[in-house]
Amino acid sequence: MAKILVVDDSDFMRVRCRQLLVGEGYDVVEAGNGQEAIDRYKESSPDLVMMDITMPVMDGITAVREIKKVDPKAKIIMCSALGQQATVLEAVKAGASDFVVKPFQADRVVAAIQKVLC
Amino acid sequence: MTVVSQDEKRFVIFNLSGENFGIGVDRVREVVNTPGIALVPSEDGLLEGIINLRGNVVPVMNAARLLGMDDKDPEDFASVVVVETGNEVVGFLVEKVVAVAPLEAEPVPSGGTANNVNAEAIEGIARMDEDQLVLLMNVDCLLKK
Amino acid sequence: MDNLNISKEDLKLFLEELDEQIEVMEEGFLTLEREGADPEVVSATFRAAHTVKGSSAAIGHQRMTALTHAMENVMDKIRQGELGTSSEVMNPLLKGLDLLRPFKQTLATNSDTDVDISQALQELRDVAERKPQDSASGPKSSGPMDVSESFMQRIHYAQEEGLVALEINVTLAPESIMPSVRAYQVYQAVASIGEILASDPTLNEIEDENVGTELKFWIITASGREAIRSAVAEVTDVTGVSVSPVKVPKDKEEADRAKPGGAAPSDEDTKSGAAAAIENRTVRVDVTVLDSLMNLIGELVIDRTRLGQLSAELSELAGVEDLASEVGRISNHLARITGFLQEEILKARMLPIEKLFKKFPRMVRDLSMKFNKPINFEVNGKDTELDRAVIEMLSDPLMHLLRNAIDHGLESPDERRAAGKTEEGNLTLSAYHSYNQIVVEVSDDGRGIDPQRVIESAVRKGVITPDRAKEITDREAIMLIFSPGFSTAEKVSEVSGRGVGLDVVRKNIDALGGRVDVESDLGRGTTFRIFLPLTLATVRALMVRAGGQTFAIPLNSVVETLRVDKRLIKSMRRQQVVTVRDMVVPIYRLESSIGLTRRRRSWNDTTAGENDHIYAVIVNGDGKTFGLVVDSLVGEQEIVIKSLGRLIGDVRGLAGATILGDGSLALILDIRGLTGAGWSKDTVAEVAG
Repeated sequence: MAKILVVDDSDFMRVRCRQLLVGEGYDVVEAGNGQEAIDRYKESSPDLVMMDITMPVMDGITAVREIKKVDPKAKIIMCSALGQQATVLEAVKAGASDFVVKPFQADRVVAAIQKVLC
Repeated sequence: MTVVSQDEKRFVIFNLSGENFGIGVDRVREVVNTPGIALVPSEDGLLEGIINLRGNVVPVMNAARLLGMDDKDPEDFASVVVVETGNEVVGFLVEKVVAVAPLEAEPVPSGGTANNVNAEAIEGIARMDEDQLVLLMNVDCLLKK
Repeated sequence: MDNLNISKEDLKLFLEELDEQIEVMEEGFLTLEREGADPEVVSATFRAAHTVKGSSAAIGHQRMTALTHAMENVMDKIRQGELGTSSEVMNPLLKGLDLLRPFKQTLATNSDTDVDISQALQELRDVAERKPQDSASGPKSSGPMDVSESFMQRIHYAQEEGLVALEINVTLAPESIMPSVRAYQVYQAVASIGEILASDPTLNEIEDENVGTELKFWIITASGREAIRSAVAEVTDVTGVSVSPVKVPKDKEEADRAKPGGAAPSDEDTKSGAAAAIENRTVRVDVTVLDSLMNLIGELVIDRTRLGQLSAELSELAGVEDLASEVGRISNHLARITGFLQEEILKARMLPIEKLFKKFPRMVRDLSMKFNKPINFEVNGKDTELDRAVIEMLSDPLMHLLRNAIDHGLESPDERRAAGKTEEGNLTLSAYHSYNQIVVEVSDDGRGIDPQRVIESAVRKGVITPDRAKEITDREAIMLIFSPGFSTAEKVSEVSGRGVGLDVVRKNIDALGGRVDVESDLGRGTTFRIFLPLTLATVRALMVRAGGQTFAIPLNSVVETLRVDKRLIKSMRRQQVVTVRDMVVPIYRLESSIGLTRRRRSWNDTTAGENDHIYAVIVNGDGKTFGLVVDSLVGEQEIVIKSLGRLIGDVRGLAGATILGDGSLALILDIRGLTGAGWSKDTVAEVAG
């Protein structure tokens, strides 16, 4: 069973995300900001990271770069709001595999995860 | 009024208001017992409703009304005889199916049949178990209306 | 005869496989000869020869083994780039193939054969030993190109190295949320497969977010087309990928011939035969086939719903948690797959709306002259795809809306100038996706609709009562223009706005399961929006029980559901009514409203007990709002519409039937039809109680 690290500063978003992913049969690890994400990544080496962009302490883009330094093969999906096109593009250049747009549509999230994991 | 054949032929025999009726097995696709009929409004009352026959919507006609018999509440009617006519598949709601048996068709006697049955829809008669009379239905004629 | 070591059953398998491989080789050889050494085709044919060699050796068929071995050698040389794919090379291969057939025949009939393979073997060996420069390489035909010389030079060198130059065309979904990110992902995918010579848009343009829905790449690669296609198609929002070889003139002479006006081979020439079979990815399908596929998927949707219900029931039981969660997972998965399947079939039914939009510019131009109003007419989103049936039925409503906008919406040039607007009126027709809907919009920057004047007119025509007029909001007032009585025969130009046939527009859109909305800014303009479901075959409905059977009420007609205390039901002129948010709404028993008064108790379940309340579904059809009293509410569900059949024909108030998860049937109500002709108090004499 694939393990997914969910990074978001909003407790609510993490809970929603966890519900969705657990319902799809994934294991979920959580982190509340970019710095925590790097620590969690090292500890639990997840198969995939769902990364929010705007977060305190360390933002999503920086976290993508840092995680890629730790593990160049890391698979990361950005969780973006509408209108963050430039930022998402930057994240993809930094090594993110894909993105999904909030509010989440379950089908799309699942499709993106399946695509990236295979 | 024609007689289909002097030869023996198999019929599905069913009961309607105390009268026996027969439809040739070559026209009957199947008999559905206690079907879930979804009632459909019908001004002349000939249409009873629809049933689901393996994914197809099949109309169910009130056979008694079609035959011009006394209007009886079909509350206890429990079987649908599904027949094919032309390109259509239609069900007849009947009281109950009594038997499937070979019968020898005879012409309708000149005096007509009993019980005010719509004579046009009967194409012959037959005897069953010595004393019982079976009216043989002409399905196509019945549905032309 | 070779002494064969094979059982009857195995021989059957061997022959079947041989048949397949011969086909692969034949098609492949012809393609290679026509189009040059596409690596994908080369390896497919090489594998086929190799497979046949292996299996004929296994059964001890020496002549077949020798023949396919020689063919394999030639293919290997082509694979290594040592041989080209000119006719001189392909001829012996095809000849070898022609000899495999009689072998197959004699094996099948268990007869002997005196097929002589020595000459074919010799030719194959001769070809295999030829020097590379003897054989022509690259495709024989070439078309005009719009790429630069140096670009062509690089392609040419690449081909000599055994690589292929390909042109990749990618289409992004117009509703893609971040197209430049998608374009970048596509760029990455393409770059991982080959060397990108050029792209449109360029990488810089992509980074500047300057991206449309069409992307084009020219690359040099060793990968096959299918591999590229699937790598690119992986990227979300990519709706189409086509990969085609870049045709390069082989030498000076051919380059001259390839120039426009020269004796270049026509497109048909390059696309005939086996090449077309591989290259052409489209097939013609009868619409009835699509309809029947759609119906079958409808059945699947029903099963999926049933499975979902089962899984919910299971999860209520104790002691089967594991089983329940497994069934739940499978049911979720099935739901997703059927969803995808449904989407794919729907896509196959889609046509761009362009077909319909095409005819409007001319109409607008003519009307513009007739009314003496200069118009700047803009059309957007003509690539938006819609179900073909929807497109046909949209024609009249759109014509009405555009005509209305020109006649009543846009002012005369003088008026516009006085209002500080450009003399030229702006009229826009657009189509786009929004969530699960398609929106078609007619928008003008004219005078807008004055709610006050709409109210006055509506009262005058008896559409609403003076009392109601006092409490109506501006928005509700504007929506009155869709009411049937608002504007029929009488022309309503004095009302600053609309009317002619707007009720008809609404009727047509309703029939499509859609919804029409209007937004108007007084003095600034009016926008009509038509919301359409992506498909016509399924519809979301509220399921209810009434009179012992289940009914489906399409959600686009449902306003709300209420639980009403019986004591609050009042009688006005022998009609029972309830009050919903200060509005008095008549209520009718659902089953009597469609004329179903007969009861068959033995089949009925009597859910309507001695309760002190009733359930009412408030619906709206053609502007009439009323309540349907039901025994119970079942829930919302996606249903597949089935017709009642020719024998039954149209029944007032019914849109068809649907099969439920448990196999029983539910009638689908047509609320609009209910309020149409024949609707009278008499037919609904039996009211709620």
